[in-house]
Amino acid sequence: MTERDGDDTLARLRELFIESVDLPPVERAAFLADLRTRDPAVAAKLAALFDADAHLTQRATEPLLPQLAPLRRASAHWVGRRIGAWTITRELGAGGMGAVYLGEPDGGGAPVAIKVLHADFVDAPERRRFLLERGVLARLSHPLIARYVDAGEHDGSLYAVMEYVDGAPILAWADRARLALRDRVALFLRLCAAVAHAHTHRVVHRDIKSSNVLVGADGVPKLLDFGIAKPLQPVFDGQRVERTATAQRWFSPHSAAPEQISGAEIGVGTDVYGLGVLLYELLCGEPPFELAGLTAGQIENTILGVEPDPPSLRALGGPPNVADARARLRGCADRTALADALFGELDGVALMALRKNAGERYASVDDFAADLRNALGARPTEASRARRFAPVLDAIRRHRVVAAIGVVALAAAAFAALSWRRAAAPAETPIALTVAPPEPVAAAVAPETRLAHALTQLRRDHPAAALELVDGALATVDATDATVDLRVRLYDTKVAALLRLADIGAARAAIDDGLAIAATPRQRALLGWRRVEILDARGRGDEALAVARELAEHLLPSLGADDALALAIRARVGNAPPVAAEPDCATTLAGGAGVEANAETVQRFSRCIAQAGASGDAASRLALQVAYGRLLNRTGDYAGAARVLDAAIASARNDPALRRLDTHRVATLASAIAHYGADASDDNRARLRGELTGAARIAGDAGRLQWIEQSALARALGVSDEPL
Amino acid sequence: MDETPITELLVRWREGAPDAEAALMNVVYPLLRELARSRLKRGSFQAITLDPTELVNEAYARLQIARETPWKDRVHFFAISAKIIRGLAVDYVRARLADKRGGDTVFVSFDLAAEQAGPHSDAGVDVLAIDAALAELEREDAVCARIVELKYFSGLTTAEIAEACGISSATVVRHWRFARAWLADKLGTS
Repeated sequence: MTERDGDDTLARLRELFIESVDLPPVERAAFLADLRTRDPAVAAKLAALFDADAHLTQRATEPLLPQLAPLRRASAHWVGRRIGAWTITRELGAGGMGAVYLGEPDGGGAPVAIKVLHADFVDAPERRRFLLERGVLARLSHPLIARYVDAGEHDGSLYAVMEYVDGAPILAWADRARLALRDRVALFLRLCAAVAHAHTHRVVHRDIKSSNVLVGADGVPKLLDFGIAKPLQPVFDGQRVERTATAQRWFSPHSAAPEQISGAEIGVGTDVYGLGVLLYELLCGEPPFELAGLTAGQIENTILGVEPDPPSLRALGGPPNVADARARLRGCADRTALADALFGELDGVALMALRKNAGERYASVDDFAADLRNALGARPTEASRARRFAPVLDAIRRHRVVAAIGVVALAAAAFAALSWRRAAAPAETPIALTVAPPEPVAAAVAPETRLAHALTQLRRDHPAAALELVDGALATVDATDATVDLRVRLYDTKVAALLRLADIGAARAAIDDGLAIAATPRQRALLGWRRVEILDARGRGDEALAVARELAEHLLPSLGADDALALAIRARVGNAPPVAAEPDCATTLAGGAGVEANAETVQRFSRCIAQAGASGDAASRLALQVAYGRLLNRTGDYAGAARVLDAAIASARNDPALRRLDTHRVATLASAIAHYGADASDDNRARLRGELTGAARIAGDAGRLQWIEQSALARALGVSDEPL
Repeated sequence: MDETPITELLVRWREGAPDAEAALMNVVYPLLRELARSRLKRGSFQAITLDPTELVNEAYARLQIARETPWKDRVHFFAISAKIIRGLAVDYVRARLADKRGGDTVFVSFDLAAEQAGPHSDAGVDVLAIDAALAELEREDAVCARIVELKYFSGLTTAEIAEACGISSATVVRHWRFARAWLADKLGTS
């Protein structure tokens, strides 16, 4: 190798490193994967450099800026000294560039909090501005804002005196009090009023975060560090720098708004963003971005360019028991219930406050609060209207489709098609995006979770949302043998959603995509059945029947008795082609939760149950009976439900195979609910509590959904499986 | 004996006079060596501390370089000294090893310049390993190597290094980020 070659290699490596080291994690992994296909040796070297770089960053524990060193001596030094009319009695906390102390006034009275900053941290213009702002801050008077008392300079150090607030940070407090969702929002709205008040006095907080909102024993939140935040924040090389006392790590500014990082103009929108971050975590228990372990550059790029997942989706992510516990802290039965509660309007409001471009967020905190009230009151929100104008951009960002050039062209066309309102989106450049990397990257929410969420959305009759979730999952799932089943189910759900949206062409394409990877008979049956549905939907009953017969002949033997799919196929084959207006029993069965209880439904159920009984299909009959019973429970006809369900259980008494089915387990729960609903005796209550503990024995997704639905009913009746 | 004041030499060197650097080195080297030796003697066997900033400052003072010397000249003085100090450190460590009085490796502590931690910020540095890695880096990426050398052995800040090398601060930051990762990977340490 000549020296020239050597130059090229290292210089090239250097350029690649510089270009990619601070990309957000997913993009960086994609970059590496792409490079690996072209030059594996260089890619390996680059990966090693990323590792080394990460280690170096983590080891930056010692004060790298010599100016920070004096600070370690500073704290002890202030206790006992006087500042103004107060004596400092103890330290309350320490941050990177200053500490907060408790100050007792001469002659007794309410104590104050005194924040002292080492003067080295503030340059001359900052200091002047700080001292000037005193007048403005003194005018802020609001019950939910820690009162500003005084500020000045003492012995080379700047200090600020404010009302002492004894309380816990709002996020911790809400969890400790196990505050239900609505109550959290109510608490948050009070906070919004305080911030809005300050805005009318033209003061922007700039650092709204949980540790700056303390809630006292009386449940009243108070906002701290108002307006003091800015001058007391040291700026080095344009980067905000702070070190927490306990963990010697660089402060990860996860509540920093994009404009605070890029140095653009700070304004009311910055506080809207900060409030948005707080709301997000209040709602779902996770911050909008997972920044732990990222380099400073990656953190910046993430905040500037990566769109957060909706809170409802985050509510589902992570280990299930942790997610469920988080949901219960918010008064929800489990994570699915929490996700359901957040989905849609609340999601939209939180995300709108977190837009990268300040111009796209709420114009004021009052607008934010008003929309939040709209969301709670199930009224249309500004957020949902705004969202409709940027579906393509959202799809592109979240689904990570197509190479950069394609994206720019597509986006350009999309911009042209977007109408007048909210066309401010172009300010953000699409990040270079590639297809899901083969290298496993920790996605915030697993594909399985997205699938479960999508199924829920289908049930609630939101096919567009389900489609988006499924596409998101398909884009991020690894294409390996292990995931074939998951992917087939994803395609199946995609088809279901597309059918509801009446997009037959796309549905057929999705079926073909799924069949291309389908490996087992069940997987082929699943997708094949969709063909039957399509043909029925287009009124081609004969062809539908033919396809159903083929499925029955070739694939049915491989399917289990419990299988809803098998039931559907069998039912289809057993029936004469359905009359257009009359849905057949499979649909009745599949309709499940969306079905209403009226005379027609009752008739349909009766007929189908009789039919199943006549044809000797015990499993179908049981399934239908249970579906019917669940429906009756939901509508409060407990006596009727008890009759149907007890009959179902009785008929399964002599059939062990039937008793092992998920449907049967749901039946016993539903029956217990029905009996308790009809007669709230202690015995019935005890029985119901006992049934509720049986969730673990449910095997399939469909059964689980039914179980959750019924257990929610139990909760509504005041019975849960939690310890008394 | 060359009586030319250092300041003049610095100016001549900055203007690119061919013999100026050699002349400068001739004056500076013995001084730095003397200063370094007196410091190194004070250290313990295994761990010695070398503070390039302190050393060069003292040399600067001893050479009675005029106080009105432009900042750029001071920076360049430090830059030249860096190379000398590197050599001194290497010589010293080799001599120590030859004495066979110590263990296999002698560690030298460097107080690194302000902004960033290198692979070993306060902990001991294996000077010979760094020197060898630097030599390799010099063969392939001269600019990066120079930056690393200045980071370790000169005590100059990023802005000053940028000035000494005639590049922008941003370039220094980027190159250093790469170089330290490369070094850490090469030295197999974190």
